[in-house]
Amino acid sequence: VHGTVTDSLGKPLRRSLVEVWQANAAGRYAHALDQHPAPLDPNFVGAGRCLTDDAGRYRFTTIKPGPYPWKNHTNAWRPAHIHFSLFGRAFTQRLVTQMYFPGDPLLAHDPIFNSVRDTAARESLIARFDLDAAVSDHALGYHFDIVLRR
Amino acid sequence: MNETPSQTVGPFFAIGMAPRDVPGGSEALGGRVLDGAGDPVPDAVVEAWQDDGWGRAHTGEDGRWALRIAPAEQVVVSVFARGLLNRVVTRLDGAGEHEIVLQGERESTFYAV
Repeated sequence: VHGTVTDSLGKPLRRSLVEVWQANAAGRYAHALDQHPAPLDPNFVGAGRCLTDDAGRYRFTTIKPGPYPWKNHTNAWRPAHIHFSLFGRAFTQRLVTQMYFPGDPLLAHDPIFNSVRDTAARESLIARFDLDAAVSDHALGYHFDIVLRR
Repeated sequence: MNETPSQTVGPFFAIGMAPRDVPGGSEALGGRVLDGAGDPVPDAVVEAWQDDGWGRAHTGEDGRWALRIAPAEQVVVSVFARGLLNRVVTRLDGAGEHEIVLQGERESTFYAV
């Protein structure tokens, strides 16, 4: 997963902190309060962080998270997602959000994704499949740009 | 360019948003986060931003949180929690104990940012 963190004028936010966390491939978080009876992955903590580079870019390698039931309502499933925490350069730029995967049939049913009422804004939370970023015989690639307040 | 919208931190933020003091922090800042019914919020993040950097703490079962900050008359904090689509931002009067009430009659004063 890779992308660029910019402000709303398109200026890259260099050397800014990016934190990510997510469920494992089976849809379970390595967190004591996650009691979903899917297996934990002993080799996967599910969190990472980095600074953007001088062009505002970030990149990390992970495992694609699985969807999981969350008991909000009957048959409630979270679409696969990765949590992002962004610091930018100023207090006003602080943002916590979630990245989703293209083509996920659960998106239409997820009240958290759909809490963003504006269609374009909501769809900006969906990463783009990026074959150029894929690593042959190893990993798929997704592109997710993040725009923070100016 | 359109800003990326906010989403809730959810209940499992602790694995990705590690707590820490403000760098060089020497004074204790803390208290409780309460919901509109006056009940403790056990899964909130309180994040303090100061000139020297930021620190943050997770609330416990009793809604209590604590971290160390640099001496200041006022501290701006963000609160992130499972039920919040966006963070809320308030000002606390310096070090010590503070209650942050997320909604209801005793709701804290939250600022638009």
